[in-house]
Amino acid sequence: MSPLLKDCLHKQVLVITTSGECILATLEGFDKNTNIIISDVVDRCTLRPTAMAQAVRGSEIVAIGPIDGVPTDTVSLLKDTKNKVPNEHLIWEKVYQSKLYRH
Amino acid sequence: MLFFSFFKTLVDQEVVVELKNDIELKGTLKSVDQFLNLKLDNISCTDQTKYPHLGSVRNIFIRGSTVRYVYLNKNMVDINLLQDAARREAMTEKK
Amino acid sequence: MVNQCLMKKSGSKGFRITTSISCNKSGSLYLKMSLDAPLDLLKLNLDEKVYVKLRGARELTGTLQAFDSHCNIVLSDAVESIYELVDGELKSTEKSSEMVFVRGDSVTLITAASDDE
Repeated sequence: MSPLLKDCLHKQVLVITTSGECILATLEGFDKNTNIIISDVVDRCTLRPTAMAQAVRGSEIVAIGPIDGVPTDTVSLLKDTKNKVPNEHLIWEKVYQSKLYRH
Repeated sequence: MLFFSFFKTLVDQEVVVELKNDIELKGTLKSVDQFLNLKLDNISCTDQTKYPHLGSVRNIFIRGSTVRYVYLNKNMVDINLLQDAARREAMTEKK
Repeated sequence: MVNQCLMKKSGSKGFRITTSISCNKSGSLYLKMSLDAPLDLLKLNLDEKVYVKLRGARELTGTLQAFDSHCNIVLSDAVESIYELVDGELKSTEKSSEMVFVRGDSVTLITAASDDE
């Protein structure tokens, strides 16, 4: 079991997911793949409660941090981690073309 | 295991971690595990206004798989030791 | 015999180029490094300038300090370029750092840097 999350157990935490969501909840459990069980789940972006308890798969998790105080401001959705660049091949084509011209 | 050991030598140093969602976090590296999950203390967002989400978060656990870069300072790293370790790692992995 | 081969190994795994120690007339010894896996080529690039292509239209050039089998790498004196298309025009943003660890899952290509970079 990864001991890194031990300090956060049974505390109010902020969870950032790969899809860009922010979740406020109490961390109830975790395993070595960072799968987590959380309770009293609140969406950080809208501050609306979403679930009594929820499991989040480790592969969906970006970061977990204990948070003190209850935030009152709503925030926007974060970026996701996929970094999908539309037409990446076209960008590379131009990059390599411009490098050729430099010679 | 090379980078696990490498990060262990960086514990208690200040690093900047860039995540795949473009957030940059500066903080003191507190611990690291075999998946290169990181724990940072006293974090600050390099771009606070853009990301108010982490406002009252001081310590954070970062899942290794979502790290893009970890920026370090040159004086934190023994370059010769690191290169030797990389050569040795390449040898041992063959077994 | 001009070239006397003292040791020659060839293994079961594909891709092996052989490990050999040979000596010439004057008695100088030559040691060849084994290059039996693609990543072994990187060993030759340690402490040399490399060009690294990454996911998300990013590239890095820097001096290779370390690597492992996941393509996690450490570069020193690295320059990162992020490319994007703005109205069909190529725009690049550059960012340099004295030492950077790059997680292997974003890496798509590593090669020796050409001289102009």
